[in-house]
Amino acid sequence: MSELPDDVVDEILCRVPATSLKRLRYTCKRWNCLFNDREFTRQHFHKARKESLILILKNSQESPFRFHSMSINLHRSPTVEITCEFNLINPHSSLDHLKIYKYCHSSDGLVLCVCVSNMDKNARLVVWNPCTVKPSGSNPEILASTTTIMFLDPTKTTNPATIATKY
Amino acid sequence: MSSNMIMLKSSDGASFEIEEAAARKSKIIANMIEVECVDEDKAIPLQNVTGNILALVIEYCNKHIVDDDDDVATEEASEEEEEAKKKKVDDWEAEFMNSMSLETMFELLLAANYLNIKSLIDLVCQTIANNIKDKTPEEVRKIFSIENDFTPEEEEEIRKENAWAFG
Repeated sequence: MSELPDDVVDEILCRVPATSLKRLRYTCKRWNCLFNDREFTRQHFHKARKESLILILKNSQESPFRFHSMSINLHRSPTVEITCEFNLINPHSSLDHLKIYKYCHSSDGLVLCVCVSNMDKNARLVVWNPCTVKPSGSNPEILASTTTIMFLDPTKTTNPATIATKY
Repeated sequence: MSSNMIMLKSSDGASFEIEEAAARKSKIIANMIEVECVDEDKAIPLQNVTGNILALVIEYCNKHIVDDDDDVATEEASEEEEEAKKKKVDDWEAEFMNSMSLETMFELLLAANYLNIKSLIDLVCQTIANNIKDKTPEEVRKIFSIENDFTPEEEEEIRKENAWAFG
């Protein structure tokens, strides 16, 4: 096989759908770093086919409002499987699990959550990227924008600007 | 349309005659023509492209020069006509790429990159992206001749991080 220069490889990778690219990130360190490369993520947003990720929010007494991802298999006998559970953890303290009380998603696949911290009981706004799992914005007053971006389904939209003014 | 013919010579000495309009798909060759570097009697030597790959590049350029002419002729074509034409091009491109091995695609991509033919770069990158999206990182490392530069611990860490949503 011929070896391709890095910029040509990036041209290929920015066309690989987000969920596949996420699986391929541990091919090598350079590929893994692309997830933090703004220019690459911008290219990826424009060039890669958009995908849907199904999330359900489960509420139980011991763990209110946790996100679960779901995979639906329509082949042969259709199955619905809850594949993983995720709750937001305060980036500044791994012991501080944030309880998600309200959420809405934006056109570029990010999820805005209204959370309450276990430790200080302050409400916080967190912008969460369901694909990379990275939350950001732990400051209760500031709605921070995310730094790591792999965007998902843009088809079902609520205007992010509307979301921001709603709370 | 210009019917000037120019000659291209591959790295292994094969000569190809191509319409100037088709050759202009390559920005490199178009530039050479602009600055009158092209001697009508002499073939343009392409050091980095072998004969079998150059033949594919020329096939692609010839096909797309016809499409570009169609665009000019039917500027006021209806939406359906536009769609039908686009589908025809898509079908041709799918057929064109379908017969190719990954190895040939890599060589074609290098040639398209060297000759700076943007639409061909897009086509080949998208086809390779579709090809690798369901592969494992191990398979992809082989295809791209990439060495795994993670320690087992680092790899495990990313795999864990990845487990969410796609486990």
